[in-house]
Amino acid sequence: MVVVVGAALTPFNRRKDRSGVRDWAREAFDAALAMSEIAREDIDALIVASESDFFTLQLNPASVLAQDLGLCGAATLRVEGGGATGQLAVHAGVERILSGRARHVAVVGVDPSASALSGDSIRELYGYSFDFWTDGLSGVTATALYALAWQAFAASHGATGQDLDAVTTKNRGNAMSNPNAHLPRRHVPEDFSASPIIAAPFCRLHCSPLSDGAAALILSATEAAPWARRKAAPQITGIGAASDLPGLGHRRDPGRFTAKSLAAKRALKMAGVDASQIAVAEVYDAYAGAEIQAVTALGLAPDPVRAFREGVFDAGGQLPVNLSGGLMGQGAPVGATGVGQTATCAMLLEGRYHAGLQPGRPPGHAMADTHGGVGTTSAVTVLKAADAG
Amino acid sequence: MRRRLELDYSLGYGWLSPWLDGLREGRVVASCCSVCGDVHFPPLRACPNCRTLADGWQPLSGGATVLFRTIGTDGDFALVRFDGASAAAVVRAQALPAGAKRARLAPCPTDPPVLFIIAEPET
Repeated sequence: MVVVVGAALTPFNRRKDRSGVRDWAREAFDAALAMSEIAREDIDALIVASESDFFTLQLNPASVLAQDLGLCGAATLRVEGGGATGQLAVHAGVERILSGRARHVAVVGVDPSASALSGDSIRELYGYSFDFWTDGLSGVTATALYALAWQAFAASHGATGQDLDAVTTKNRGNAMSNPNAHLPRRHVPEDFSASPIIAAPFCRLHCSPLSDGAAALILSATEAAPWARRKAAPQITGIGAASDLPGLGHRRDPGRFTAKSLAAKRALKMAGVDASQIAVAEVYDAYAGAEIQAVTALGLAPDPVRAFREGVFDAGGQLPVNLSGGLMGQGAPVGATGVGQTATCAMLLEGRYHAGLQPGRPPGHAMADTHGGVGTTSAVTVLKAADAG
Repeated sequence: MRRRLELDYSLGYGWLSPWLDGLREGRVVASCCSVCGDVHFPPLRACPNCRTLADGWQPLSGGATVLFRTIGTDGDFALVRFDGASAAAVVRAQALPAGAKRARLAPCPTDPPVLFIIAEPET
């Protein structure tokens, strides 16, 4: 298997300090490398997750970052898969180790989703995440597509607008204990009625923010990991990816994230565990409704809507979901998102996450879930604590 | 650093030409699978049912049933099923009355065309 010997995230927020993506990437990488206690020159490959050259004005960013990170000479690869970019980069790193082509791999995700362009420009670029020649010709926005998918889900699962409010409140409440979070908030019901409708039933508070930031992982082959110094390092035991029809209307059930179910099934099978063994999860909540749809697709509860209402996925629940705050609370610098989810899971399993969010008894198995499009390109990673059976 | 990019793309319609030309004229032209008979609007090059490459085009009436609709500051969009199609389509709605269940495709002569629906004329 693959060992997560280093994991780090920068703050996710809107940077106003004149720093840039190359600074954030270096900050996250240096912190992960320091945790790993692996020498820089021992890194065989650098995998960079960055969603769009339009954000950074940099094609081939992996070559530039390799130099910045002192990794010149290492194999480099840039990965892109819409919102799933970061998790797919993690998978590329894992596969490189499992194939025997690398002993130590750095995965760095970074994007300036908040500060590089105006919100309208970013929204237009995100519109190209969908099939430009079909759905894209309507001018539909990501928020409107997710809203339509949510309506289809809600109609078949009995979910309501109050469920959307509850997810936002949960995730931004969790973010209150995450010093790196973009939107830590204590929401009250009146906040939602005052929030403008972006695409009904989604109001602004049901949408994740655009963020700047970076995250990094140092992955090692089991036989090469520095076990003497990193005895508690968790492992990535399963990865799974899948795709769905890009056009929402083409799907048999537009409310169901079918590719996510497939990706989770593949990741769980590789890990040799079932969904009931997952004790903590970081789930792709680009919108409040997407978290409920994701948890349903991942098979984390037999009756997910009811489980949400019963607090199963709360910080103190049986299966905390998005302790970090998720995209809704922690923020969403796209390329960094999936890398950050896996880094968060690794730190939770190792018992070194933020005080106030770290479960008293570290969980045994964790799941990180990311997707691009509206559940179109899905990538799921399963991790195991060092001392888990 | 501040930098402004102005990009002027020129992309070919390719196999989607019949569909895009149809949109510009307000005609619903769907792809169809000769093996399983599925009809797709928007078109799909490979049939999701049997994975056969779509090998034909079929005109539809242009009428559609509204399944779901979302309105807000982002605009007015709907998931609709065009009459005769096997699946649904995401479209922009224009001056469609609230609660309307029926609509029809509107012609859009721009390049590329905008995929939008309007109210169905009263009979």
